[in-house]
Amino acid sequence: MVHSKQHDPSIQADAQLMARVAMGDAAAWKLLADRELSGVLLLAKRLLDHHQEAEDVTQETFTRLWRQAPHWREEARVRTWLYRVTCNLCLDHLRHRHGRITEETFAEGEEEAVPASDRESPLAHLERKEQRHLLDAALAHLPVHHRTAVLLVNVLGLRVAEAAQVMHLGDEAMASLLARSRQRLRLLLLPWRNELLGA
Amino acid sequence: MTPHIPEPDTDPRFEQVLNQRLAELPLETPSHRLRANVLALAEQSTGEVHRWWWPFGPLWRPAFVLACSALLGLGLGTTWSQTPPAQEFIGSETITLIFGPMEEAP
Repeated sequence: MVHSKQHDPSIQADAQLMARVAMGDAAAWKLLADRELSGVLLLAKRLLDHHQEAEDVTQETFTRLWRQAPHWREEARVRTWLYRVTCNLCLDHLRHRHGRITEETFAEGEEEAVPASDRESPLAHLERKEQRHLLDAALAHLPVHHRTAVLLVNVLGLRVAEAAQVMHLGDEAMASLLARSRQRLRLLLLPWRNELLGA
Repeated sequence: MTPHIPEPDTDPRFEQVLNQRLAELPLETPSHRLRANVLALAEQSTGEVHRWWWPFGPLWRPAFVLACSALLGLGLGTTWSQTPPAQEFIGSETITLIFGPMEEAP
């Protein structure tokens, strides 16, 4: 569904909220923080797989949002802006940690498959109550671009067009990336398909 | 060792369950420290505004001191008001004011 940015009520509401923040309205800032902190932290933690680093990135993201408030333009939801900054900061952290993350890294991952030995992992014997851990493990094994796509759309509930803004992609490229990411996730989870289906 | 490459799963039920499980993943709870640090951004800024506009702050402090001095002067003037020794200046007083006290030669 195509949304006109100018007439998107959530964008307008966010712009009003940011105008209050720019005036130093602590209540508006608290409202925004309460609404968005958890999502930003989730994204950072899933991308970095490190709680303290994720908290640092979250704090930096909100510091930037605070500085951005006086210059805020009615172009996007605050959530989209926050997730974009979070992704960028996380990628910077990952580059410093592992060397540069490139599309080549991502492309190499395309041909990877679940090693047979992984299928014998104790995870295979977990009950339904541990399905979340299966999903956590599968998400953690996704390449960072795939993981980001799945997190933004399927976990954090962004529209594909918004996720495309976050990841600096066109809508079609984003939809394609999302489809590939989900396919890869299904492949990773295939050995535990019955556990996930509760069979 | 040849990696095992499973066939892509196209089962719509699996897809549906996967969507549901992903949507059910719980959000992260920020630590008290993180939440406090984020909220402090607004408090620090409000504090700065208060510091500037507070009557005893840097912006108002000189004006406040001047106003206090003026009020003090008015109060003192009212309390100890004295009538001048003469209603009109006379010439010698004007000369004394301009040239200082004249000492007569012995």
